[in-house]
Formats: sequence, structure tokens, C-alpha cells
Amino acid sequence: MVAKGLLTIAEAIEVLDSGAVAIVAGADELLGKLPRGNWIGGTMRYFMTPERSCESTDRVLVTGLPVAPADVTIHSYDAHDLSRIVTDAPENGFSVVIIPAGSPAHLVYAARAPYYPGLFRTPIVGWISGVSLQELGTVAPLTFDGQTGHRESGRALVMHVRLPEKKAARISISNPFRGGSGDKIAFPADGLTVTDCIVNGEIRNFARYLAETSADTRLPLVADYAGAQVNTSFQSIDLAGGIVHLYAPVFSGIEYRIAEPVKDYARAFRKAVGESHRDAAFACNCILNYVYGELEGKPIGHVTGPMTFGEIAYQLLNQTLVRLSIVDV
Amino acid sequence: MILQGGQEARVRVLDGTLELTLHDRTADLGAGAASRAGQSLAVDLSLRTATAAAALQIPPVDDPRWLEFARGDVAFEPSTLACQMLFTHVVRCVRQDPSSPNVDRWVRELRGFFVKYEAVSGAELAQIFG
Repeated sequence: MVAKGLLTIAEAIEVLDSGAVAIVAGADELLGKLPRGNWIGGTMRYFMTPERSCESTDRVLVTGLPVAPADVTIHSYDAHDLSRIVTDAPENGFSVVIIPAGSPAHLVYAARAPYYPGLFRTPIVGWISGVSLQELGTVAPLTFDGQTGHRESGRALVMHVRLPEKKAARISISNPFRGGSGDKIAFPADGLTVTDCIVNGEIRNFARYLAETSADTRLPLVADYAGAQVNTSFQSIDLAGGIVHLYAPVFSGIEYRIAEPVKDYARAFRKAVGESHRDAAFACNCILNYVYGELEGKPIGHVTGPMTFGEIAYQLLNQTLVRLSIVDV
Repeated sequence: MILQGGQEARVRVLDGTLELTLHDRTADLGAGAASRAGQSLAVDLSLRTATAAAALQIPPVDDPRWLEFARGDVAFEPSTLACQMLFTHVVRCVRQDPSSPNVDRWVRELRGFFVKYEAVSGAELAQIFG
């Protein structure tokens, strides 16, 4: 039986001491109490479970993976060697990445991952670790390497998992947002920090455009990636400086629209999740959905995982539920 | 084709619509079994329908249809998240920089993807090359 869910420290210790391979999310002080083992973790205290979405400071969320310890390796990467995540990954398997929010590795992965050779033929999922919303900017998000006991605030921590020949990893996303009927917005350059945009063919200052159109920046920019809806969320707008800060980069050559409003996030996620991927081995969702969608106490479907500061499904995503399934081939 | 003990080889027959697998069972029979004069060889044969992708045989990188595809000039509806993301990035990167080295880099990326996922990419490959 693979453990998955919000566990007390005693329960988590028992699971990890048994040799289970796991991904763990929790508060810094709780992760520090866990034993050495075949796990990686990151700071996060907001969670989704089939029963409800919640904040917890006395439990950790353990996602046990149905794999053997011998098939797992754990590596950390600094911002300059992140492309090695792809080359170090097993030919058949998957990789789970945890990166501290705001770290150099976070910023570089966000901007450069789509350009890494082989990225999209390497199943990579993961999340950006964070802190309590009351501690933003004052406490550093962390990752934890269960094998070494090392904690880290600047590097990406990765668990590479090899799968047997007759198994394969499949990544899917659930995104309740759709591009609205408003302006088509493009950008002259890639970036997490944006000044100019191109609206219906005209170059505009993006911050002023958002102000003039009274845009609801709780709604993400949505791009249609050949049928997949991919979000980029707003972090802050410096109207005086004419700068917009984003949680994931926009890319030049891609067309975006501000999403249509979603009235009931919980219902929208339950509908998007549906009955599919009930056996997902790993899942994560976005803290912005938790906050903007007022998900505290509400169930959003049969998914278990952390509500994070950014989701990774190959590249960095925002306001999206990411799942990894292990399927027979 | 030379099979060593225990090895397996696959060949496509009848215009690639069927796949013939030969598995050398010599190793299963003990060391030196095949070396004895007059000893019959032990080979398992199996014949099965090749996948759509296998039947198509993924073209080499210099096939001009890759360029057309990478430019986004082919109607294409990928079915997996990975393919949707890859295709979108390839098209935008090739349109922004249509130089030969850049096109070559992204065509190799596309081909590498389909080679890895050949067994489950029949529908996509048929849209590009069918």
C-alpha cells in the first residue's frame, strides 16, 4: 500500500522508516523532524485532499510513489546546470523537481526550460516550494533531501525515478481557465518581468494597458498550446514604473488572452478533474487557486497534493493542477 | 543480420505492415550449443501487425516535410500535453528564427520526440506524414 495524504509526524516517520519512496510537503520545522530516507521534500503548508483543501502546520503531505528505492536517485542542481535534469533523467521513467520560490534556480528554470534539448520527451513534474502567506519575503522557501538530510534554499532538488519496461509516466493538467473574448496580447520578448506588449498589433505598455482596461489580475493570461490551455499569473503591477511582474514567463511568439472569470473554483476543478486519473501517482495545484478561489475547507476532486508557488509539467505553469500517472504500456 | 546468443531482432516485412521478431534461443540451451557441428539453431519467430508509426517509418531529419511541420504549415492536433507544448514552442522558435541551424535544431527535437514515443504516436505521425 502506497501512503498518500496528510500525515502526522509520527505517521510520516513510520512511512519513511519503512523505506518508502516519497515526496513530502510541509512546514520547515516539520520536515526537519523527518528521518533520513528515500524522499525529497519542500516547504509548503497548503494542501488539497479528496476531503478538503486546507492549511496545516501540524501535518505533512506525503505522496508515496509506487517504485522501489533501487530505482531512485536524488540530485540537486544549481541555476547553471538545470539542463542536466533532462540528461540525468532515466530513459524510461520520470523526474520530480522541487525548487525554492524566488531562488536563482526557480527564475532560470522558468525562463529557460522550454529551450532545454529533450525537455518534452522527459516526463518532469514538480513544484515551487513556498512559505506561509504571512511570511512572504521574510522567510526563505526550502527543499529537503531525505537521503542526506540536507536543506537548501537556492538549488533545484530532483528525484529521478526509473520505471520498468512495461510501465510509462504520463503527465496531464487540469485548468479551469479559458482565454476570454478580449484582446489578443503578445509580447516582443520572453520574460517574467514585462514592460511592452502588443495588443491587437499595437505596441503598448503592459502595466498601463492593464490599468486602462481595469483587468482583473487574479485571472491569468491564457495561451492555447495546440489545444492545451497554459496559464501565466500576475504577481504585481508597478504602474508608476510601467512594469508587470509575472509568476511564470510569457514567451514571444505566443498569443495570450486574459482568462474568462471563473465563478466557483472548487466546482470548476471538480468538473475539470472529473473521474480521470483517479490513480495519479503525484499531483499538485496552485496557491493562487487556493487563495483567489477561496478553497479553504472545500474539496476539489479526488486529488491529493500540495498547493504550491508554481507547478511544473515539463515547464513552469501557474494556477494549474498537474498530475503524473504511471500507466501500463 | 547476425544474432548473438539471447539477442532479438525485428524486421518489417510486407511493406512494413507486419513486424517479424526473431529471438535467438541458443543461449537458453546452454553454452556452446550453437557451435556444435550439425546442431539445429533455436530461434523463436513471431509476426505481428506493426504500429501505424512503425509502418510509416519516421523520416530522417532532412525530409522536407519536417520543415513544413516545424513552420506550423501542417494542420496538427496533438493528443498529449508534451506534444502540445513541444509543437507550440517549435513553431514559434522556427518562425522567429528560420535560419538553417535553428530549424535543424528544432527538427531534431521533434524527430527525437517521435522516435522515443513512436509506439504511441501513430495518429500524430499520420497527420504529418500520412
